[in-house]
Amino acid sequence: MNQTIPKCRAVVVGLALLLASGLPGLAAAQKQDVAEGRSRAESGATKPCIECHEGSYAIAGTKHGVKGDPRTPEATAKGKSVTDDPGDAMCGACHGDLTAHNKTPRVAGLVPVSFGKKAPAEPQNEACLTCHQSAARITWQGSRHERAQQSCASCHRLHAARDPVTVAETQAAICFECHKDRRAEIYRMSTHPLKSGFIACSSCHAPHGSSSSRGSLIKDTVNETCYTCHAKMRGPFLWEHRSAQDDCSNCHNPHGSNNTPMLKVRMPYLCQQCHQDTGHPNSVFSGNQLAPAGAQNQRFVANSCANCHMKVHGSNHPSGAYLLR
Amino acid sequence: MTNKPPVTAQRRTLALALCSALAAMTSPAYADQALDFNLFRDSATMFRDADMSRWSENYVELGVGYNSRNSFKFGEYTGLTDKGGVPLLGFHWLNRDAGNDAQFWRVYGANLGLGSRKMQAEGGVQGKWGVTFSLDQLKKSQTDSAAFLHGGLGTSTLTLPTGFVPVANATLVNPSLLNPFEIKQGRDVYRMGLNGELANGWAYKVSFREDQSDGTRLTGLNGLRTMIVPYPIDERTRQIEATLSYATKVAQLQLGYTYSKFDNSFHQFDVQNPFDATVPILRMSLAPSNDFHQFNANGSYKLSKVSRLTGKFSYGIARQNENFLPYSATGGGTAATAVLPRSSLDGKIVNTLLDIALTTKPVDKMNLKVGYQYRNNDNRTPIANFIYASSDGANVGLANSSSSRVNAPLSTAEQRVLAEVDYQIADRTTLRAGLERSHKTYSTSYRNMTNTDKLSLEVRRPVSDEFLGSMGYVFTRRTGSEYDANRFFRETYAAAYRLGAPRPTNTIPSLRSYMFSDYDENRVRASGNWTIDETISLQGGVDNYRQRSRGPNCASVADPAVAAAIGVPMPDTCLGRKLADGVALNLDLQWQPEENLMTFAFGSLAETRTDQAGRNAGSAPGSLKADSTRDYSVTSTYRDTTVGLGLKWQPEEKWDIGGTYVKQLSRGLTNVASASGIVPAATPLPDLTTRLHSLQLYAKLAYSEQLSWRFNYVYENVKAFDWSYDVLGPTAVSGVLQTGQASPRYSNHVFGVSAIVKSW
Repeated sequence: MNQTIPKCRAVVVGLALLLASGLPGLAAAQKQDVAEGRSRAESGATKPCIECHEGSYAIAGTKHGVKGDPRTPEATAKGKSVTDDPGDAMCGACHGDLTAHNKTPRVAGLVPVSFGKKAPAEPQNEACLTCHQSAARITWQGSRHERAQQSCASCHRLHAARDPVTVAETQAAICFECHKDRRAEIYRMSTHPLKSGFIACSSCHAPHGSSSSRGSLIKDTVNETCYTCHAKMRGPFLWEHRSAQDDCSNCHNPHGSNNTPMLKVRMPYLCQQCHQDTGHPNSVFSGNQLAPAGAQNQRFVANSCANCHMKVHGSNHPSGAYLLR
Repeated sequence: MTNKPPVTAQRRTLALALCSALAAMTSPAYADQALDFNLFRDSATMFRDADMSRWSENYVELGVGYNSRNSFKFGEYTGLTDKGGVPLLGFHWLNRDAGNDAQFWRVYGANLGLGSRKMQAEGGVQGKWGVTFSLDQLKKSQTDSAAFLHGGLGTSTLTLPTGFVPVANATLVNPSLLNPFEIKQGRDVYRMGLNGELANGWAYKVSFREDQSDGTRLTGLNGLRTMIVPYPIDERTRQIEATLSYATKVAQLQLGYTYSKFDNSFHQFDVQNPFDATVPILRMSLAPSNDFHQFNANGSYKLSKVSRLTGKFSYGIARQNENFLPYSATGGGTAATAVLPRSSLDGKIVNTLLDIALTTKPVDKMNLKVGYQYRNNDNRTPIANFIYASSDGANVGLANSSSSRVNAPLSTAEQRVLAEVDYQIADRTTLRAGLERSHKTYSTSYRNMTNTDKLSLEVRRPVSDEFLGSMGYVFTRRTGSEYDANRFFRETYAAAYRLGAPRPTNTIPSLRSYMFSDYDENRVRASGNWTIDETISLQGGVDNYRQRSRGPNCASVADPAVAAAIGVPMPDTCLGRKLADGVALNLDLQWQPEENLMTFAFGSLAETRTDQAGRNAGSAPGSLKADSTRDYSVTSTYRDTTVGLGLKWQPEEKWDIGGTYVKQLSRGLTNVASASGIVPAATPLPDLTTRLHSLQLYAKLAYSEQLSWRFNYVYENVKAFDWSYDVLGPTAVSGVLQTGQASPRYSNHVFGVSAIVKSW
């Protein structure tokens, strides 16, 4: 049964030891680099900007600050300072021609492209999409976020070494800035492991747009998205359950519910919204079924309908027509 | 200009940190990292101290924690299940060569001393290639208070206690024979990836993911009476995704392939039957192994400076061909002699998607998008006659009986067209409108076809420099072809049986399954963002929707009380779900009175409600299906109230203190009302309740540039009540042998102290 857990523990411990054994050597190498290194700030590449914008130093610790990657603003700047050629300088690669701003920094409105929520989204996004237009960004134009006038910088922090929105543990906090109703839902009793950072919103959602029918999902449909982790529900089954086959969210609220497992409505009432067949599906379930000497019913307590119809996602048993086996 | 980030940026950063802290409530080790990643201050400090050609961000966390009590629910996904001490271990080291080499690597480990943990590693040369590896280990416990009659728990064969003589019902089971067994699952997720840049704008990415699950889950099992028992899990899903992409300023293309394979070590689950000696073994099928291939092509082309054409095509095949279990595991009953029409399903579903969209700017200040989608879900699973038997060894009827059933694979096809326009009607004021139509056809369902139309309008405008508001309205209507309540019956029962069937349908004709019913939905959203001054900002929003189903006119509801309880004027769906509505209110306040003090509060109210109606016609054919005196209604309301408070304070350079508190009260109200023909009349149900208090406090002392101490305290208190489990004991209901499990109720304190060593 639980054989994989010890095995994985061994892997974790082994890798941790391996890393620990390598740390002193790596640290020593880095110290040497520090000793021999030359301050880029002193070299002048962005010096005029960082004299005032001290916090923007961090850009050099990001992917954008890597000189060896010819695609980056740093490489584009080619070692020039903003005073040499503002249009080519690192900051100018994204912020536009900063000549005027550099001459009269106290005058507002001279930075062609400002990033942030209060600045117009379109120029910001145009600056980003100049380079970042492949892969997921193919569907950005016309996406929900684009139509809602969100800029790339609404979610991404371009001057952080690790952009929080790309880290599973910190991503949700950024999404919740706008999607506030979702924040409360993850505190419910039955949820995905979003709170503990094992999945992120982007495990299911494609913030840059997608072809999914709704919810801007990473796959073409709700079900395909769910099957990424819950492949056991994929089937195809001999005996299908229509609503499960059609859309998992017919019954489940993936953001959280107090009806385990993430059901929108408590069984048996959830089932009775579609099943009123003759026989027991049309039974009335109320407090009578909980009274000590009442009409207690095996279809009401515990797993309710699923006490018997447990194969609610489909059955492959040749006699499973009623999803009983 | 100042050399510090502007106040608004700081506020946002701190708000993010607080939100992260809220999200990290149950894991002190993780909370530290979440906060660290969000603090702009740390990054800037480290940059000044570091060599400018090499960026490094690192720490190692070592500490101990103490969890005050056992709780399966508190330990869900955190691993803090057991009382006692836990090591707090974590590390992060990012090293990036910002010079010409462009090498980078990063290692990261979180919560390594806890039951749920994660590790990541990546490296490569930026702009050329990169590799990634990660491992997530999760633990989840479904319940630790369940008890079972059977032995062999955790295996695929459950046996009755020695000498146990089958009993007629669950009330006759001696509770002392039930043995406790914790229901829990472990999940290990490995991911590996390789990506690289090729020449002339081409790039590739390959990723592999293996997901292993083991443990047990609860299931019902039917055998004259029913019981709740644990079935074993030993499952593995492997997924490979590969993409090849090409991008220029004008055109982008991505070709992709996905392969997913699910393997289940257990295909059957055998349980000795405690209720019927004539059917000694009950056999259940478990999820069959399956696989899925998909090819896709995704592209975009810039037609002009203002126009872009995007499109996607994907083609996927899902297959499942697990051998069928025999009709009868024990060889008893007439089902044992029946011959399977085929040995396995050979199930196949072919998914096709075509999605084309044109975005353009026909005039200044206007954006337009028009799109077309075609989706085809072609279920090519073979159709055959099978014998239905409720349990192993059951005697079943002949081919012309109700036990002869035909599988009915569902295929759907959908076409969708949409047009969306944004127009800037004034400075920073935008009007958005959208129109969409979906036409969907079904192969075997109550309807052949549905049409769904959607109209949306939204306006965003600043009321002042400090206040930005938006308001939107969406109207959706679904209609379709004639609702054929008999169709499923016709297509899944043998023709020979249907001819002589005592009832032409087993569905009450006036029922509308909400998946297919006509409905109108109105949705209104509004939000505002008010920057009161440099120190205070307020955000609020409301989202309200109401979906009203429509169907046959069943105005003959005899009982006015029921009609009132149903609460929806006719004509509406007579039976089934009639109404679904909900409202969500949110209010967020951020207050930063001082540069080193940030406070944050939020409140949220969410309520969803569904109204549905049923007709207690029993098994009687004919007249009772039309007898509205046997109607009943159910209103299910779920209401959550959540409030949160946060504080982050840096009284002096060395100290960083913060805390968050969240309280959530949830209530599930179920109101059942019955008409005069139903005896006994419906009686009230107790409310489902959940109360959560969650408090996290931390203090971080920067002892030196390299060493910080972190002190954590986490408190979580949950009290839940659920009538499904908490009212009746395991042997109280004759028809089902329950587990005796209880709803989560715990009050956990976790203390932690750890040293964080960084910048070595």
